[in-house]
Amino acid sequence: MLTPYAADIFVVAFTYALVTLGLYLTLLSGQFSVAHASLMGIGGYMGGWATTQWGLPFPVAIVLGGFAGAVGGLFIAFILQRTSGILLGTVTIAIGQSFSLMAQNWQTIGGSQGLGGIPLYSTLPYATFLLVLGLAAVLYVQRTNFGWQVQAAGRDETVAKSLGISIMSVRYYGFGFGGFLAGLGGVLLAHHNGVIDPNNLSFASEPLFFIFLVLGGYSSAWGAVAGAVGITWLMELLRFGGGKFLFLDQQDRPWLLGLVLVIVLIISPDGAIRRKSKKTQLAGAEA
Amino acid sequence: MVVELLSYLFAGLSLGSTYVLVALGFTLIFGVMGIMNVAHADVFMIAIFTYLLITTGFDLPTGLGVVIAIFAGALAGLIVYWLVLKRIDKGHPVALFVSTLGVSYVVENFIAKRINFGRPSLEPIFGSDPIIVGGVVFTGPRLLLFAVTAILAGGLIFWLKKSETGMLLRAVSENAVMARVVAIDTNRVTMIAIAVASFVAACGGLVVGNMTLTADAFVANSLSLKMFAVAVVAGIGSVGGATIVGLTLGVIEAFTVAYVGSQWQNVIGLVAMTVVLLVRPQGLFGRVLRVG
Repeated sequence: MLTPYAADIFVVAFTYALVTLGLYLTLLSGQFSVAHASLMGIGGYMGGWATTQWGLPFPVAIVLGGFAGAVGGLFIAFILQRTSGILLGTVTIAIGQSFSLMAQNWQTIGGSQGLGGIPLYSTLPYATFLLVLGLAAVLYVQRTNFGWQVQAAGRDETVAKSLGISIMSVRYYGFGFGGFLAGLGGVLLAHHNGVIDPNNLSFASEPLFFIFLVLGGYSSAWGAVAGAVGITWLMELLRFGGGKFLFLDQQDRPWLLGLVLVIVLIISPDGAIRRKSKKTQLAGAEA
Repeated sequence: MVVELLSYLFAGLSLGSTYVLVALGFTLIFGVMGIMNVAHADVFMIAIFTYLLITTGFDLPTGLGVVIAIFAGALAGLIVYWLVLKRIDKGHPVALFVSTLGVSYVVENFIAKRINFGRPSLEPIFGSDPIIVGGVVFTGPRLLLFAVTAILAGGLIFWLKKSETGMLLRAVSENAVMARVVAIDTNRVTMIAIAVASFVAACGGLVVGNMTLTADAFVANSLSLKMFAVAVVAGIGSVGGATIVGLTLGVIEAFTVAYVGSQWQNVIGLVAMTVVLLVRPQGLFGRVLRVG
């Protein structure tokens, strides 16, 4: 069936997809977060610590990592309860960066070397299972009454408040659930690479998830997953032929991807693929 | 004891000056455009690398390198505005924000790749033998940093208060809609604000580069954290506030490193930001409302 190489890339792609899904969920609730790489890192550290230091089985580590990401997300939501919009986004960068710097200076968890020696438990079945579960959970919650409230609050906080929707509970949901998914991704990443280091948490790895999300389209959970899996594969395919193309090589990929992100945002600020639903058409007619 | 305290104080002030020089422009741009320009800290880095290119790459005199680097920094800010910020729909604050994030990602990775992810060293612009006054050591680069910070921060505050352009700038940042109603060319004012902000950051990059003597393409990652912390604690848009808060943060950090432990240095900004956001979300010196 799949070669080990392809299976490996799918594990990475699904890991990224989980984190992107978490980011999608947080953005959907109207909260602008730029800290998902950090939440992923927190989950990774927690999961890695659970398997290496506590000797816990991998499924338990996955759950613990997810909860660690969720706690990180809830902490951010708590700090930012009186802030909103873009200021909130900026502050989440600073918080994420602080997490990374703290990990760098915390010798118990490996300092700047990171937490190494993590057993390579992340297999394709685990990654697939978690992604399917995560996607199903997100799609299910969106169809519940609370899910609609979240989307309403995401579109217009003032109107949502006037309808009696608790903005704080929406925020805790957005950051908590989003952080949980990112944490799951982190555990997978740590048990795929065998190491998790402060660079994984840092702001520098954050634009990647925005690239996935913007190119996949913000407007649906499927878009987030498709963006992450598609772009990860695209990056992998560009490696063939020695990865050389004109004067470019592999290490040129980050800035090229960033450039694509900026160009897409200029042309279509809503993301590359927009799903036209009844609601967005109505919203368009109003504007 | 006193000597020790004074040396930490000066170390802190030089750290704080770095924060001030970046945060000033960031807060100025936010005031005028209402956007968080994450890529602003990269101007600091671009100036350092331009200087490196001119002096080490082309082997030209340092004076020329300084002039070109400052010019390139200011131009870089404007180019980002012309090519990206101006073209993205203002109704999409998230897209605007993510685009500045993208720009900083592109610039950093592009430059890092060109130097193969290394950290080249810089030729000093201005150095001197340390001057020792009563046991406290002053180095030339540090004194230069203090002088540049004092001149730029003071000059900026004075310029905003007294000059006509400064007043226009304040008018736009107070109420952009009303400014347009009274026929202020907001586009021109925005461009001036960005040029001035980038100029300040570029000067900062050079005087700080003159102290560290290394060029790091990813310096903005840690610097932007302090930039946000200073701007948020001071209150976004407050230039005088950013100066006071930036210097204070630097001094507190230096004393923390000296007496508590270096691992706590980066926590202070976060704690200060957390407390301020919970207690006084508009910041210590901030206004409550911004229109337009």
